[in-house]
Amino acid sequence: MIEAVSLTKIYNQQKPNQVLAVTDANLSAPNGAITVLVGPSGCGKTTLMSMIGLLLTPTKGKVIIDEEVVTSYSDNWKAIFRRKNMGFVFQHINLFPHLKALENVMIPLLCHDMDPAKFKDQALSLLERLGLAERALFNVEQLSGGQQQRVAVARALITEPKIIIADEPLTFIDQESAKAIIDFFNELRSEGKTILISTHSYNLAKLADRIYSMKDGAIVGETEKEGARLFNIYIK
Amino acid sequence: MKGRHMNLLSYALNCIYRYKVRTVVILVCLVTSAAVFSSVAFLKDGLVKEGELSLKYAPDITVQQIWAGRPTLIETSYVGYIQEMAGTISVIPRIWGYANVGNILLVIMGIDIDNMFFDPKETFPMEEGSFLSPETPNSVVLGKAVADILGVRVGNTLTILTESVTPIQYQVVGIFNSEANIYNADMILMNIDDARLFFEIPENLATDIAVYVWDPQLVNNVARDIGELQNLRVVTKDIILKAQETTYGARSGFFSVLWYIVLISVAITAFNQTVVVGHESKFEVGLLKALGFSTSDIIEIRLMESAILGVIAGSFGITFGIIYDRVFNAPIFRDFMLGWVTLYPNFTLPIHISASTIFLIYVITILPLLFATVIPSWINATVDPDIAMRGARA
Amino acid sequence: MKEKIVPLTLLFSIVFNLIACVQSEMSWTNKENSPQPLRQVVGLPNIAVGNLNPAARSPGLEVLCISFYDVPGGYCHYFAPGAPYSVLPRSKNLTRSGGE
Repeated sequence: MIEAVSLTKIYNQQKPNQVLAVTDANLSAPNGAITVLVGPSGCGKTTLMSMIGLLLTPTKGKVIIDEEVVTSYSDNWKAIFRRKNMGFVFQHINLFPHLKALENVMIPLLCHDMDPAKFKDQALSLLERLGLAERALFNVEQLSGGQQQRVAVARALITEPKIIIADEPLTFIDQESAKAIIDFFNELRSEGKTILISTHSYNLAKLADRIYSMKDGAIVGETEKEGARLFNIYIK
Repeated sequence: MKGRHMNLLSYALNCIYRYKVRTVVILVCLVTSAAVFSSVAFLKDGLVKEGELSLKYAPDITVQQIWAGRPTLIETSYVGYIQEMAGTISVIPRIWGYANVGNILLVIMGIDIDNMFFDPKETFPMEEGSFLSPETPNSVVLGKAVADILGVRVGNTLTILTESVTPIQYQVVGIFNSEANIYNADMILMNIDDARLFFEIPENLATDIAVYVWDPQLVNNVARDIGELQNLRVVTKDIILKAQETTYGARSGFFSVLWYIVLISVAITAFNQTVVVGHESKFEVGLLKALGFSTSDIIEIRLMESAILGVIAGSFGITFGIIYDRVFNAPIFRDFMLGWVTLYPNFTLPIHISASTIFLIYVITILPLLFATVIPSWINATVDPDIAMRGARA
Repeated sequence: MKEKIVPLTLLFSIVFNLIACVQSEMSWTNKENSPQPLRQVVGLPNIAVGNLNPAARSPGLEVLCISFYDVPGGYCHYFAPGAPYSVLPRSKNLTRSGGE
């Protein structure tokens, strides 16, 4: 279970250009479920996702994962926690442009005490599941945006994390890739992964077991699976 | 644990290849400075070694006469006084000096061949001909470099102008081989009587007096006793050795100053590159941290990069320094180190490539890079991954 | 093969340096342990250390080095052969009868 308790983020605190990005956000994402965060652009979804994913230090509040207050960890322990338990899919994809698709997938293995070469088959298998087996040795520039995002999804899963955090994963991609990713997230849920997604996509929100809506940095609504029907209301 | 470090090492190597401009800039600066330092250091070490070697056989004490504060010819009557002093084994007046032959300044040394304590035929390293002998008056033996420059061989005649600009002809009877190259490079040996005639030094005078002492521990005592005699300047072996070391320390120190300037600029470049290397590196660090790399992993990668660059630069710098000294005979630097107007093209410089100097060069090429990298890497690595990626994207 | 060029060149450089070092150390040890009759007979300190004759010094170099407070062979003003004026007691106005 992922719990965000009163998370707040203020950029440039006590300075003239102070920005209140997230205010007192409370959220819980059950294990083995898909939790979706919706809201208009600039409402603080990415900031909240980053705080939950330990990529951003909150100004106030805490994140509790499986009863551990992970925000109290040191910088190094946070990295180790991410390494072992989390996989990220970013809105801007964020692949290393100088590496091939397969190499990008295997990058997270470098910080583990293992020989990455032994996981090559696993990486190829992930790319195959995402329909990219024949493009494993392509350079990143040779892939479309959708294909790049699928590579990023494979990268998020190479270390078999129990938590997947995907921030607007369908923003810059084509329909075919979007469908592949949506189907893939569905499969991951059935494998018991905990998935936290922020999105504007109705098709992705339909998968949600729980939806939170955000506006102006605050959580303004929460609904269970049935509430996906009301998705369109929440993204206004 | 070992697997992770190897993984980070392979990533560090990848970064070196990827940031080509930074790598090339740092390597060019560092290889150049390491090559300069190596070249000077090996040459300096070689000259110091040569100096120590020749001092081993030099007289324990050299005595000169001073007139109006400057060295002048010494009266041979001092030989008797010095011989009576406790501790002396032998006291030998020497005739030697400089002469222009063509446009080359050479050392002319008089040897008392009637009183040599070993057979020259068996002992001296001659490339051609033979050593001086009493049977061949007005004969000279040359260093190989001199012979090559003057274009003379055994059997040729050499004409040299005396102090009163009178030409005297000498028969070349022998040429030294290159074993004692630097030592005899500018040397002409002749019989002591011939040398006296050449320099027009009267019988009661000599260039200086060489004193040999039977116990090295008595050298300073004997030197002090000699110093009590009027108008004499006394130089012991120790003092000459210290002067040599100081001289070459100062001369090579000149280059060390230059080298430190270059090294500091390299460190500053490395520092700047690491801090201000731009969005690409900041983004990379943010993304790596998001993917599970810790701050210490990032710092380890950067330190590995610096260490590898340092080893590469040090190795290539040493290699180029060796080639510059050995193959090209250290042009430019030897002008400073030897300080002569005329240098001989065939003159092989003594080079000493010592393990300690090589170690020092590696230390000096690696450590500054590491120090210059640590703080900027730490600054980059401790930023929140989200801020690093967003900031870089902006 | 392209990515092996730098490591191979580095390895060659390190091996070259090591061989040069070993050869140099052995050569000097050999030289130090073998007899040096020429140096013994001549008895002068290393000629090439610094020519004592002011005419031997390069004027251009001398100006440059003076500006760095270092003079090639400049110690010659104070050093001969390459040594400072003696730190032993200065000679006094002392006469001594010979033969005693």
